[in-house]
Amino acid sequence: MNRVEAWFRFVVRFRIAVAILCAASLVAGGVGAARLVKDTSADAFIDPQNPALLFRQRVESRFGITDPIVIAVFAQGVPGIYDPAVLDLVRRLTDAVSRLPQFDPARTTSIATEKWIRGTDDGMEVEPLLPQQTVDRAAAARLRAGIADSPLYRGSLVAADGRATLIVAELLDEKAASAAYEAVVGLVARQALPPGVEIHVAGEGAITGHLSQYIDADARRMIPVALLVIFAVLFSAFRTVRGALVPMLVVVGTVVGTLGLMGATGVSYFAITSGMVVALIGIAVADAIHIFNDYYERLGREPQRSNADLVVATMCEMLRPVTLTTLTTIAGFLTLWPTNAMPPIRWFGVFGATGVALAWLYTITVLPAVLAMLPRRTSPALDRRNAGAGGGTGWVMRLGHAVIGRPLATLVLAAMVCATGAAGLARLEVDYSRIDNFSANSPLHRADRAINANFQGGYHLDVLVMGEAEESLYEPEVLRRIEQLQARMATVPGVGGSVSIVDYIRQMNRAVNAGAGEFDRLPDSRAAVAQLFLLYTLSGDPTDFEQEIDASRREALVRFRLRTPRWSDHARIVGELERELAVLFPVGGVRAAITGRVMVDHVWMQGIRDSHFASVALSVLAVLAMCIVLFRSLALGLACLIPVAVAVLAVYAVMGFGQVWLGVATSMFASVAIGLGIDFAIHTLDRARQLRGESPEVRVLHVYRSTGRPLLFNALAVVLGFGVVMLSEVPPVRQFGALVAAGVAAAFFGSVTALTAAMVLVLRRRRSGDAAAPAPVRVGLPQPDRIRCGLVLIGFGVVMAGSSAPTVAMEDPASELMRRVHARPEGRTRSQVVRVELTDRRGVTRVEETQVQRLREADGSRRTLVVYLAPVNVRGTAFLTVDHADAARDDDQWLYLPALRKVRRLPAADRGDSFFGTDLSYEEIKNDGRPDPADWVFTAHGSDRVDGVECTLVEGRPASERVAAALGFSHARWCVEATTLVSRRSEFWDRNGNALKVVGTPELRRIDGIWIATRIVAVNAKTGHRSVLALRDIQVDAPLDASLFTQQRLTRGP
Amino acid sequence: MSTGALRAAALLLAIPTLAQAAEVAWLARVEGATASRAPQFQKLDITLQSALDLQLADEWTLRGIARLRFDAAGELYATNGRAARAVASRPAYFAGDRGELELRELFIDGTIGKLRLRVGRQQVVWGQADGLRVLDVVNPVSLREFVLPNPEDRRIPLWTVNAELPFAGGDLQLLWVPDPTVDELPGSGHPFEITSPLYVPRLTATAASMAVTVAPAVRPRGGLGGSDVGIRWSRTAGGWDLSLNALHHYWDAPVPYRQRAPRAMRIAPRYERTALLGGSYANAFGALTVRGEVGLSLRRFFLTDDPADADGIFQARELAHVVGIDYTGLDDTLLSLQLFQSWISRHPAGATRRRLENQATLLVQREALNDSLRLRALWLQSLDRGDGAVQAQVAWKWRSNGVLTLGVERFGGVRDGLFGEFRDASRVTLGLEIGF
Repeated sequence: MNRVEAWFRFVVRFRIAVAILCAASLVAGGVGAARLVKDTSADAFIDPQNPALLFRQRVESRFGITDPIVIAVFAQGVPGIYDPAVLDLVRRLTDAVSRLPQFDPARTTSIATEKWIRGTDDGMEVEPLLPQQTVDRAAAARLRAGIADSPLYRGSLVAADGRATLIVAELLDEKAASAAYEAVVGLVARQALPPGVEIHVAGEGAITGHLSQYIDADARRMIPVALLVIFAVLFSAFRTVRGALVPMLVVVGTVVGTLGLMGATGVSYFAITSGMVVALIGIAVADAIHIFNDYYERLGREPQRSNADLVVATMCEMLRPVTLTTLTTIAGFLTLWPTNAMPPIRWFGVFGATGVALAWLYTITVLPAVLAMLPRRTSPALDRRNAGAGGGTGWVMRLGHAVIGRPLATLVLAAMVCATGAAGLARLEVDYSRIDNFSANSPLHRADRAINANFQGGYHLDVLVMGEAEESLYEPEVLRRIEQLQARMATVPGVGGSVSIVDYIRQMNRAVNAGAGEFDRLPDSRAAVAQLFLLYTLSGDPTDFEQEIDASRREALVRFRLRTPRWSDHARIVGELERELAVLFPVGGVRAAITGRVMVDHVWMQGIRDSHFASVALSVLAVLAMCIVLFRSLALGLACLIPVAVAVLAVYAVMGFGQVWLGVATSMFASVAIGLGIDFAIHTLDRARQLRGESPEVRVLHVYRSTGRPLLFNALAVVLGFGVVMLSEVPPVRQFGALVAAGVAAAFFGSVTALTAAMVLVLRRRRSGDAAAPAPVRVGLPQPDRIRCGLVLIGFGVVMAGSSAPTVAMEDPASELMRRVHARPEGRTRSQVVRVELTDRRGVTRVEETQVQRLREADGSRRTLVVYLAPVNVRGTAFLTVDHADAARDDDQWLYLPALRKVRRLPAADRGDSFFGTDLSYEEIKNDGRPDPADWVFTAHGSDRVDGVECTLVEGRPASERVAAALGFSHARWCVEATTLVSRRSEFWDRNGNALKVVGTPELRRIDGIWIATRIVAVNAKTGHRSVLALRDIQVDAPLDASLFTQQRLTRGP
Repeated sequence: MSTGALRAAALLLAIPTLAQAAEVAWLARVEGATASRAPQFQKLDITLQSALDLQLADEWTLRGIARLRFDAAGELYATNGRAARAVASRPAYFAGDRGELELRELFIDGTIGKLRLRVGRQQVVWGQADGLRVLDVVNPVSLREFVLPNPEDRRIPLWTVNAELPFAGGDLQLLWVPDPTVDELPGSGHPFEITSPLYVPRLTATAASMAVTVAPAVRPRGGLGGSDVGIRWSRTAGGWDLSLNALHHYWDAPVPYRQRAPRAMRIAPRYERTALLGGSYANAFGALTVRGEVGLSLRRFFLTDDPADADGIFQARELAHVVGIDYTGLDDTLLSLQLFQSWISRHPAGATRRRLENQATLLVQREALNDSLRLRALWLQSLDRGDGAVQAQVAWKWRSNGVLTLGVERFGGVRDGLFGEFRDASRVTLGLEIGF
């Protein structure tokens, strides 16, 4: 008895204990799942340290601005909203909303709360647009005049034609958005509306908050139907209750166990986790169906055997394909971790793989234990099948004969399907629109359309303007830049309007100049701006501008309103905004950063666009590699990819032709298709290998006979099960069903047509070849060895995946001193010997000595040659890098390893990567510790002393997200000695704001008029690692020939 | 003792006296291996190596490496080392061939105008692939431990004139190799004796009863007429490192011709000439490096089992290529995948190899703990026969100039395969290296 059989005998013998353990694990899984926290927010898709998110949180804390809920009151009568009854309604609604517990009363704005800034003989008067007492015709007329006199309210608070107005309510807590939306809708429903008045409730807060509940409610209705359909298909496959219930038990165990582990490990249930659940259902059902099919067939063939023997024999037979599919699917899922930066997608990969492993575990324990507990009973469906009728086998066999009869035509047909998929792929659009998650007829969608059509827009893109000192924003030049920014962006299609403190200042300036139109401009001096604010406080509330500027007048918010809900439009607008900001800021120490809901969404959508195809490609490669390993054959590995390719292309076809955008949820379906597609392929190929030596036709027909039926029912269960959710009214749920159905159906057809047709052709060709020459005997490693190899690969993948981490950081400006530091001469050539001492936290020291030569060429490019002199073991190792003048072009790098006697091409290092294991980065080495002003935004921070030397302290923040990501710093501080322009101490903080490292230059020498740090000490605060670089034999501007810096030179040694 | 050995010994002895004027480095190494199926040592090599760099004049240096090695276990020394090497390349053997003193390198290197010359005993490496030989055929190799040691230690250096000069925006290399040394092959009973039918004639049922004799190999002539000559032009264009290569040379493995006589069979190995035309390419894209090489050998000889074949050998052209992808996107980690394919223009009945042969290698290497720990796993796999080898090693740099290694080298798969034939030679290795 081998170990596999011994295991299943053990399971069967202790079946009760296994069942109890299963029940216990289900309970444990349930407990864990109950702790699962749902996080369907869009922010979950973005790294918590991403600048866009951090700035948004800063805006929330400084300006109290969140995603608002917007109530739009439309009045179709002649006076529009200037009807006393309508105005009374607006005031009542404003009061009622501000009393709701979910809202901040101080941040509920409408015409009932806003002020009219108007000029008087004494200067300026600030008074409510709408009087507190009963609204009459006079008050309405006065409001009309006030709005006409206040351009900043037109289009933002009141529609241009006067037929609509908004009540904007900021949430106290965005997590309560859904409850707030429900409360507002209830409130509106209770209002008695004047004739011709309509009220819509919308806004980003409403959309965000209501989205998850809206989808969940629909999914809750549809998913039980899906499970019922799966049950029905399983029942029709075997016509036994156990044949339907036991696979469902495996499914439940897998799903509950996986969700339980997610809950126990504190990982949230994200919006895309539903996709993972579907994949797991498909995979768990597949394994169980194949096992049941084999069991019932065996029962028919060997009626004399005991039930326990039958179960053990079945499991021994099926362990191999089930394990192979498990390993390949795990490999596919795991690749999602290293190829994506978004936490939900990474966890999708990890727990997808965990779930597949769990499904395998349940399949080899619970399933045989339960089967052994039940009395032996044949399957009526398979009995009929044996008699040659019904059960799906007839159809499958007809299909098999057709494919074997016309394999080439089948392949051509499959190729056409793939071509259609490729055409769909070409039409695929990467886009996202949160409002389109709602049905077009839903109140929220209608409200959104109405608001975008009549107002400046319901989507907010913010710019945070940040000065260094108090009242920085009183500076007229800064205000003028903001004004220019608003004016330029107003011409960009999709931008409905904007509001900033500039609009208020202009209004105040005009008011104090008797409303004269020519004074609708910014004052010319700081004093004048300050006086306007002072005048305002005399009659208005000083907190009135708190959503536009902070109390210290150091930071301001410019809010752009966008009319379009689509990410593709938002991306274009963000691009325009970035370009404008690069031109207009920084100015006078004031910098600007983009934020707001639109920006946050933009960032993670960019992530999807940038990583999706690479991620899918890597998944496919991982699956291919695993198949090659497990089958020990390149040809079989490639064959496995046929159904996978068909399934993935089918998903893309549905997306391309069905106008389903590639968005956050839909981007996961390629992975689901790969996971399920590979299962079908492996079951097919595994069966084909059973009858070696037989004719191609017999072998392929054996595939159809033995596994065609379970494959069919597996596909039917998942396709029909999730096909029913296509009947949903909710677009994302509908798309979800369509994509799953398309992926699984295509994987099935790919396996039983294209794959088998390819098998027929290859086997026939091989057979004709064999007739001429006997094929060598194929003897691979024993099966357990292959599986062990697969497990080792997966283990390695996990270790490798765990070791990668995305890095992002923040941005900032430049100063004159650092420009001079950067311009500090370095010499056209440099030659030096560098002794490097590397000490880790345990005190283990490594010493290396290198000869470093550098040449700056006339075109600005730099060539650096590093040759190792010591230790002996690495002597002769040489490294050549060419840093091109064109910054957009990657460096070229080559490494010569004496052990190989070969020059190897190396990928360009990231600028922030460690330079040869030291605590200095490539960037620092390349720039000689002179930060490039193009990369940084500098601010002065007084002075300090380092080693008794007086220095100017300068702080820098990366100038853009790209630079921050490349360098890996959130900020840095340099202590620059004025006479030498050398930073005597440089401190760096990682992207989380934690102290990262300190680089000191305790020894300097002036050689040929150039200051050079001859001793550099870098200490990493996180790892305790320390690098000491001591320079000697330094030559500056010595003649160095360009021929020294070639690949040929690398091979010449020291 | 051969002249080469004398020179090696002289160099090793002269080093201390030259040390004042030259840079000298020493390396001592002890490497042990025990076969996993037998508890005794398969290998216990004690090596002392000295390297000399002597500045002769501006732009002219002399470099020499001498290696003293003693095989204390005595399992691996039985090779055809003496016969394989030209007299001038032969090490000095001692202690019954278990010890050897070899001149691993001795050349002068310098420039005359734009011409760069390297003359003497040296290794010349062509191509972009690691371990798989498509273009890397200038130097023969020692198969004493099959493909397990470092390429540097495996390659046998040759007396060569190597000239390089700029040409057409690139670099033109001209090689003249008068040294007729060929591959060093393990002898009968050696743990790494090659028995695969891909390279060694298989006895058919009728031949099994015959007396089989093996004649001495007909070696390359050497000298002027029998020299190898090569030319390579390389340049970087559009970010791609490109080369075109041509080599007229002796194939360094013998062709085992079969000669039949009544009730007897004679194997008469002969080294054959061939010509190689090829090229290589490499470029980096982000964290990925793509590299590859392709070579067409105009005249190769392969074995056939066809009893009707007169000499058991058929001639064909061989087109081979390697494509490799290196990924360095994970911190301190190198992932390198290579696919090797070889196709022959003829495939008669009984050919022991396939018309298209496929091999793949996967290398995973990771540095850790202040780069003092290196984990390395290399997987070589035949994709046609299911045989392969895994070489896993942990190297601990316990001090800057000291490395301790522990490794496992395992072969598996069908015994007829290139790797599977060494299933019994799978081993655990332990090594210590100190530089001073």
